[in-house]
Amino acid sequence: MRGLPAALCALALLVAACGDDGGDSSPPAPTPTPGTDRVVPWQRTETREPCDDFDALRQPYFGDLHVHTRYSADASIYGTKAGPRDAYDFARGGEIFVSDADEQPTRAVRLARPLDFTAVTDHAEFFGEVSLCTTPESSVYDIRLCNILRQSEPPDRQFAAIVQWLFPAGVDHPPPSLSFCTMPGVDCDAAAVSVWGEMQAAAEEAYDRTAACGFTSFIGYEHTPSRGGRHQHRNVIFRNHHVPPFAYSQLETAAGGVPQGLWTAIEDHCLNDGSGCDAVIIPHNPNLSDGLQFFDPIDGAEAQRRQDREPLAEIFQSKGGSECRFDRLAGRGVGTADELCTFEQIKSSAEVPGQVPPPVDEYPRRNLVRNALEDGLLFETTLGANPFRFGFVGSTDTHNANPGDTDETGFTGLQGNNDATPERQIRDSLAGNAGGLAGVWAEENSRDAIFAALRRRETFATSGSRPVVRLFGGTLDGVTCGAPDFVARAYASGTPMGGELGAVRGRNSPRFAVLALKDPGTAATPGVDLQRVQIVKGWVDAEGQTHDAVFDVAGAADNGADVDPDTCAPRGAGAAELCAVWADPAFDPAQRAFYYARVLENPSCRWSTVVCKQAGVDPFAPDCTAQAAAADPAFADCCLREAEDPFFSPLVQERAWSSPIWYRPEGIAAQAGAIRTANNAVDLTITLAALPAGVDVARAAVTVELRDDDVLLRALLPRAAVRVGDDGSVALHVTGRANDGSVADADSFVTTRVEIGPFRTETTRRWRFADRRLAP
Amino acid sequence: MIRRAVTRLARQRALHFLVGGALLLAGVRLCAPPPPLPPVLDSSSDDALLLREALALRLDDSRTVRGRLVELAASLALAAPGDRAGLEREARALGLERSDPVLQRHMVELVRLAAGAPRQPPDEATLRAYYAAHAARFATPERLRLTQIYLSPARRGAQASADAAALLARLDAGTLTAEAAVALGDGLGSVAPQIGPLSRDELGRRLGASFADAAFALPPGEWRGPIASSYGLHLVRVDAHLPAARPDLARVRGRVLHAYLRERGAAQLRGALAALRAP
Repeated sequence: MRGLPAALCALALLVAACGDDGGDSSPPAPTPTPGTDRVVPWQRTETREPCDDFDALRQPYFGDLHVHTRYSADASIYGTKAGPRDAYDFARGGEIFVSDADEQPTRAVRLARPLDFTAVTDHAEFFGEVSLCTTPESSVYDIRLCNILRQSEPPDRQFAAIVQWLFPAGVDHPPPSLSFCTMPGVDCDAAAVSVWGEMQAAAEEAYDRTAACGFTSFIGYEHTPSRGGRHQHRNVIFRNHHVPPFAYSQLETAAGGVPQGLWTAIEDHCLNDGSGCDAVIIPHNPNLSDGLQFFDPIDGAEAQRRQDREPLAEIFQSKGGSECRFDRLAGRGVGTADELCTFEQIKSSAEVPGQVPPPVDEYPRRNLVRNALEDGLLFETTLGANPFRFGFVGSTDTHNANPGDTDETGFTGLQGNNDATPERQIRDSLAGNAGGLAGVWAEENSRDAIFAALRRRETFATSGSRPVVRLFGGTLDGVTCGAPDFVARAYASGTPMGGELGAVRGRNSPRFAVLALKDPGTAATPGVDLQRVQIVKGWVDAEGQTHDAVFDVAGAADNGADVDPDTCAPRGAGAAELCAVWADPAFDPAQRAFYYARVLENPSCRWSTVVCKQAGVDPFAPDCTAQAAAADPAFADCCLREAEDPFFSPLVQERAWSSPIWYRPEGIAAQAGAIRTANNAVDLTITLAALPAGVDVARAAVTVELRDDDVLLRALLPRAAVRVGDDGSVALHVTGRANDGSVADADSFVTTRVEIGPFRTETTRRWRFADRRLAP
Repeated sequence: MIRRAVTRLARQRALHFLVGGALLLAGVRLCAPPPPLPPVLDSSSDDALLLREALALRLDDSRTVRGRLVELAASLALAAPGDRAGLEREARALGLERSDPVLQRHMVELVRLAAGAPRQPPDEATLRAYYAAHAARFATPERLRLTQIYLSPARRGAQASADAAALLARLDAGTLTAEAAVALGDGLGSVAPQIGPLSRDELGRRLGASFADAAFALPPGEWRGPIASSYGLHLVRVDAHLPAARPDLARVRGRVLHAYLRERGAAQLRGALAALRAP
């Protein structure tokens, strides 16, 4: 019986009407007035309801800024069928189906904890081609290249498809599109624009513009140059719905250089086009770039351009950690002796076919973020600008449309059919991990607020769990751990992570306040206690040598906590919260440096350990090898021992990294004075403890700018207002009137920026309002 | 070729069945919230059914399949290299159009796409009905705005409970303001004294699920506690308990449409499979 009785059809139609409740047919709600009377240090660029939940001293939000769906060519090759709307649904807590080993969407997955924000960042290369090849009505659907994209194959047979599809991203002079785009009647550009439009629509639909502010979506894409398999990939994240008409990929921008071509495209078609478009560019997994991701700038202007365009770097994702590297078998690291840098390392330094992983002494130094940060200090010395001044985010780089699916106790897999089964996860993907998360400190969960946090680098990264970390640096007057006014005082007398400091305490070290809270987890899977908090310092000495050092500042490495090898349950206690106010015992005011916090959880079972145990293979068992042989040869690597591998461990210490705070000898050391709100009169003295190298203060133009959400004052100082002290310090006396109506009668974040010729420095404090004066 | 195949599919009785079945399923869903969707393809037997249908629809006559058959036969030297017709004939003689995994997957995928593809967008009434039946999925959940005073066991040790009780007594007696009590508590750094409004889930993500459950059970306007969070003890006053709110369809139209189409496509496919299984 293959027919449906007509009566049943009629019944179905009848039933279809029964749920109608006469829902609202009115058009979208009237446009609310943008902005509120809340004082925020960023402009409101959107039409949306103000968020009910707002904290001027900021709150933590977790997200994923690196997510692929079926519109990415490689994800399509891996069999991913879910699209951008599915990805946003998943991020919000909805259920989606991801592909199985046969590339069929049969595996139901749902986040135990929704995310606060997400950007779908499909590879912009081949948007049009992928769309045409996966649309049965397309005239090219039947051609060989399209079949290659869609066919189901195991991981070890994907190479040909990857090469045939992705080779343009791996050459210096790529063709504008794949070959079939030149066939009569085939318009890949139009198809690409259509995909780009759909990605924008999906983001818009997912964005909660109500006052509940339950979820923020960002429009974004990935720019994917891979010279011979050396990744120089970047995610472009747009602030709001104003985006370029085209997602400019490597195919359109290669002629301008990597990544300068992308910078130019974003400058021309976004930042400078007058549309209200704004964007940040985030380089990611430099650990597979063979050192190319953070290349030498050609001059100070390019260094500054990079700092402006790329305020963040992805320090952790499913394809490994990029903080630092230590080889336990060799007993050496890549520019470090930090033994905690064995964490989640990929052995290769690029995805070059057939590459033999380089030994530790030959591993590219700038595959690692910490080394790049150190070298950035060196460039600041020689070029006057630091090209590698980035804060940290983590993300997943999932190719399964499952953002934030980082739970190590229930590993879904992130690479389509490549890691869809336990056997493939262990045999083919053991070195990968469940991915990281991006944390931001923002006033509310809206695009403007979160984007502003990304821009000012008040961000942190995690390796997948959700501890939170805050770092402040400055004089930190009265800042005491545990005090209810800890945060308010820290913002008033210090800069948050992502900012910079001058010699705020003379020759003494600035104080650093770090606060970490454990991941609360879920009812089913409580979070793991914290073990300790460290401050990581990098600096460059007078001889131009870079260094790093790691200081334990709270908690204890020897707290006795470990893991029950039978159950993977945590054993022993750690800390729910850790806090310290710390000064650098080796501080040298002449040495530029950076400081960031690293928060370590107690040990826990790695995702692979959980998968192995579920397969009946216990990595801790003496007869593990026999268990693996009995279960399936695919599980042989479950029994890998630390003594046999430079990086692998069945236990991990999940972690979080705060963005750095930079110390510059010529940074702003002190501010004294105020803005009188009655008449907007500004009277402020700014002190730099040292003269910027190579800058002639007597001849160069000296400009001071004060801004909160907009420019309060921008003043070109007369010569008389600039005074150089006998000790080399520079005092700038700023007088004038702030713009009418721009100064708030309330505590406000104010950024003070000094420009002396090409030299720039700035710092942000929360100024206090009292007695009709707004003062730092 | 594909367009013709899809057209042929549309003429099949099975498709008539699945369209009707999908309507029925959609109708049922509009009346009651559905259980979680089962997987769309949950076994190899589904693939076998779809392959059988693909062959019945002669999808193996497509350019893709014929090209692959020629390649396979050439690799096995079943005929002279340039004899495409001979190579295809020999490949078919071996049944490769049915047994080659790549061709199997290709044809199954075509049928799956055709069967699960949305026929047309729903009309306004249908979409409204769907939204009405699934409004909870798109609603803003109930939310709490609360004031909390934190007492850290890490700093106060066993005294934390006693300190909490003492503070609570003074708050209840009206001898201490909320602001003064906050100043006597500890700072948690990432959690302000005034929180929200946040949903139960959002509050759980900040302070732990058990804290959120306890807070949502509190009456508004009264100091209660101590309530344990993932970090320590809290005195809590619920300042506002906001009910769940259902946004206008216009504000969630895109998400509703996506959910409708996804659900309907899955139902169509299940209907097609059921029809194919029928004797």
